[in-house]
Amino acid sequence: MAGLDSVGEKTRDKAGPRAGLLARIRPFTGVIALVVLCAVFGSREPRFLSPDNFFNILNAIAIVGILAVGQAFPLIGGGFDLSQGAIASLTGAVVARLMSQHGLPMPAAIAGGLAAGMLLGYINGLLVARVGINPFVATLGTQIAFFGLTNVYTNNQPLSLGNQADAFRQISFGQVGMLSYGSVLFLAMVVLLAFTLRLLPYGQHLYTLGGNEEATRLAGLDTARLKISTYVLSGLLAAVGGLVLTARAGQASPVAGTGYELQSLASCIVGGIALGGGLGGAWNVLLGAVTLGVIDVGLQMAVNAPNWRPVIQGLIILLAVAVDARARMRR
Amino acid sequence: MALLELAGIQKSFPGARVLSGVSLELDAGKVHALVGANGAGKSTLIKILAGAYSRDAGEIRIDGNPVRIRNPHEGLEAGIGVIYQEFNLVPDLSVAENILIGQEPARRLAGLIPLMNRRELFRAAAAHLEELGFHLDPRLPVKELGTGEKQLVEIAKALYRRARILVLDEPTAALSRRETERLFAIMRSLQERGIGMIYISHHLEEVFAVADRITVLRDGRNVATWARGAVTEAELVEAMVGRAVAAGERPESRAGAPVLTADAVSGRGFREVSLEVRQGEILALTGAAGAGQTELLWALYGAVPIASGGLRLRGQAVRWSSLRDAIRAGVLLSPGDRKAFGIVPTLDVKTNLTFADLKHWTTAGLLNRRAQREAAVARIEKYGVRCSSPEQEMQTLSGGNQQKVVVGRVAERNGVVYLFDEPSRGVDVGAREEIYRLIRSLAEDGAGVVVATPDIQEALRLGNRVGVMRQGRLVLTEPAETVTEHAVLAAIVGG
Repeated sequence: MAGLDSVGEKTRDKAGPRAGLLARIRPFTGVIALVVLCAVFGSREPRFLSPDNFFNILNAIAIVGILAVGQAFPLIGGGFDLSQGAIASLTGAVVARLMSQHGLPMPAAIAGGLAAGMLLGYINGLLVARVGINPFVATLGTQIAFFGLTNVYTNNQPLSLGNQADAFRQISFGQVGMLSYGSVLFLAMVVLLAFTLRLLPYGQHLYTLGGNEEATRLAGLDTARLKISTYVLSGLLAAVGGLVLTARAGQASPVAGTGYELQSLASCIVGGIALGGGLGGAWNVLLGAVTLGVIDVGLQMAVNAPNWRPVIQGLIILLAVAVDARARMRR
Repeated sequence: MALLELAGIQKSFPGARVLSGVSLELDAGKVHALVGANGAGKSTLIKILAGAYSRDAGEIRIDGNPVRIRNPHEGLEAGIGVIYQEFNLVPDLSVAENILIGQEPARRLAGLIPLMNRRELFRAAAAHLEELGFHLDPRLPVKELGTGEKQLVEIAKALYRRARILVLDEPTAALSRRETERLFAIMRSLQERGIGMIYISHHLEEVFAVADRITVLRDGRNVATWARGAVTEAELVEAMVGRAVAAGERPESRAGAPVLTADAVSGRGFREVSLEVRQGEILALTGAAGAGQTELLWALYGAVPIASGGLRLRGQAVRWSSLRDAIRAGVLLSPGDRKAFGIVPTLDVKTNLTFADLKHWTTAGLLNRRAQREAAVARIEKYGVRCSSPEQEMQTLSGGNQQKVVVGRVAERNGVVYLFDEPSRGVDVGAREEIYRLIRSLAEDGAGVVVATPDIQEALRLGNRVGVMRQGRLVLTEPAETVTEHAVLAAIVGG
């Protein structure tokens, strides 16, 4: 009886005090790594540690961060979404065209874009949950198709935002104090994700879905509907990201979203949301997105060889994931 | 001199002694059948012979010489080929490639780069098959073969590696009657070639048809060996029966009104099963592994389809379009194989105990986490789950405590019928008694309960009525007062 009560303690005793310290700081390793990174960049370039730069980083990661919040849903549920970048491009184009060519007022055009994002996500969900295609293959296929659709829809030309362009650009450039609207939107999405995961039954069911789909199904939950919903939400958040992207560029470019899905995936993974599902939370999304932003901006300021930046960036991502993988294996 | 001798083989797993001294002899060209109830130790013995498990004590001798078998490779090297129920074949490769896998004939390109000599491969395989008298096309991909033919490929593969001893584990379980007869004919021809065979089966009829000698395994030891013809089916069953369940331990039958009735239901894995579960009683279903109990429970729960026949709930015909229909009607399942179907290993105990009925702690769409935690604490207490806190990760619990969580989560839901599949699988003795108590209390509160278990003793101790399944059919149901272990075992082995 006593043996079962103290499984955790026992392993800690066996591993000695040093392992005990490691085990205790493990939840904070991500934060510690972030602080170390900031210290390193700050020592090479003092401007890096200025408050201005902090808000600059937050603004820079807003779009990727919003997409990463969306990515968290399928990821926790045991899948992932590679079509986010394409959805962001296509929905940006939809909003632009609704405003400039159909003369819709901005709120209606935005609603149309968000609805389009949910519809595209729903298609992903159907392919994964009803047709039974592996999420990697399904969303890779829709990524290609959605980018193609964007080209058809825009005729390969950037679309202008029409006479509401100035108002629309506020979505990215408007300020609340030091924060850009884009940053505010990102932080709001993180809070909404935390709320969903912690305070709605839906959130807990996502974790059980990702942790053991068959057990979740046998307990009577509609796993197909749950899965579809994660892709709908990912599509919706990709569309929100697409709004900020379009606002920032001042036009809807058909290739604007290229590669964003990989950055959003990287944010989640660096932050500690496991591939394979069932683990992670809103905090991990925030941490991952900020870490990638710090690396990106820090390298721009501290390293003068632009071609080397992605190499260093990739190595840091691999290091983060490797440390996490080792920690998991040791358990 | 015997071809194969086992002397005093012992094997223990943490908390359980599985083999406590098994000795037997197999002569060249003979078939030695091994029979016994579930849990007698047959599978463990096979795995020791194959080199998949190491033995704790005892000796294996071939031609009188002790051999070391520490891994599957050494097993084959020693001349022992094990044909499991699950085949180890690569479906996309041809028959020839599967037979010669790892021993493909090679020729060297420019004296350096080894290339597979495909012509030689097919020639060698064809010659081998012809010599054995197996009519198989060596070029056919294995996935296009039927079960019986795949089995022949496995046998050919073992014999190509010069196996002189074949261990056949329930070889006819998935075969048609015609395939079974062909297998028996092949076994006779292998006997003429001097191959010795250990034949494991639940079907005494077959054992009498093929075996030269028959050994009964019980509680991890060999209790009797006979030459064929020197023993009757009744004597064999008698020897297989273990410790009798004391009369006082037997539950009494209670006859409430029927809650769930199945009328000649058939589906994948079960055929024309008719049964009724009455209020306040436990119906315990037993049978050999794979006899269809699990499939039947899943079908009663709506988790797999029923192809024909119907269900009635309190006399009203019902059809489940999904398992959620069954749950709404109060039919609940605690699945077996908790790792695959029961627990979410990476989440905490609290979530595992409560995720199926979060609506109890949800108001206006919001989950009250404190109420959820309090309920989890109460359930941990009620079901005797030993954990350091409700936040302990599920996969760090012992098997018994994991099972209590699964059982508790199901028992907490409002049910009229509870289905338990192997509720004590991989569970220590103490936890087992607690799970039994819980199952009994559900029945005492008026629910109908079905328990499926491969363990006869468990079925006799739990069931107010005991049912036996054999090859997908319910072949026996009897009240606990009158049923004997003997009768149950006889029904399982087809006596």
